[in-house]
Amino acid sequence: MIGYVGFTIIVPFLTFSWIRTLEISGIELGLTQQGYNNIIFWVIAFGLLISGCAFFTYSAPKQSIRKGVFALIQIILNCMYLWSYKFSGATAVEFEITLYDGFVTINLEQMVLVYMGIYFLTIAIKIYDLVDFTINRDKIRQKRWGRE
Amino acid sequence: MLFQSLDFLQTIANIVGTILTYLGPIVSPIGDFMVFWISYALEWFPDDNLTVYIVIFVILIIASIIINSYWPGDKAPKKAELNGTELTKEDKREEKTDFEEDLPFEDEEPKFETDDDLLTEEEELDSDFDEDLLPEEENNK
Repeated sequence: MIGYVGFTIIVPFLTFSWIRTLEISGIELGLTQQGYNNIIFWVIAFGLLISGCAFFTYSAPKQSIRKGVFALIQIILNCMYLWSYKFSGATAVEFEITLYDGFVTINLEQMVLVYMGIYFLTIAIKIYDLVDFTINRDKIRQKRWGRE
Repeated sequence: MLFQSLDFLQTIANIVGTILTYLGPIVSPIGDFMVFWISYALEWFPDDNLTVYIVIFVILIIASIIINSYWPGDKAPKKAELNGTELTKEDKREEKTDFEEDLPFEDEEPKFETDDDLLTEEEELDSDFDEDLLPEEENNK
């Protein structure tokens, strides 16, 4: 869970805080979008939900239905977390070059779409796992309790 | 540009670019579908108050600790627990026999002799000298 808190909340928070006042080759770049607070809000909100679900998932017994359910919820929350970057404007990061009074925009939307597609496949696998755990519940339990 | 001047970053950019080019047409439509339902779902999430998320986080942690401590899933629940009643003598006996069946051969509990198993003096004397065990010639005499 600490890993999830680190990767979903602390690292993005520090990254956005850092690029807010970025200086490359002596040129000051500032994160101009108004949504800086918005980005941080969604990062923390979904980061908390993902971390909570991850804690539940990893503390649940192996191949149990509850593990499958929370793993699925976690992946869905991950998708929302990723999309919240776009929602908050972070996928089209606009930098202001203060020295020359210009703008640089990095559009990451296409990359996010590809990620979403990959997440869709992950969701399909998690649903398969959940169905498998449900159908073979008795077998899995017998195996877990050592009564094959 | 700065990013192009570093070979390492340029290589990564090329790899990512290739992946995006080849996977894009297949995966992007799926991504569009994902975006559609996520955008709809996100409308339900409050965007002005973190308290809700903190409360959900705390509930998840506490629920996880309680549920997974009470039902760790590494041993079978008692039959009575499944029915929600107290254990009867019969249940306890069944559980005991189940447990014995599960033990491997070496771990089986030793069976102690009771008074009924002990031989009387006559039986003991008989058992010392059993005629049936003698060779046939001696038996005929």
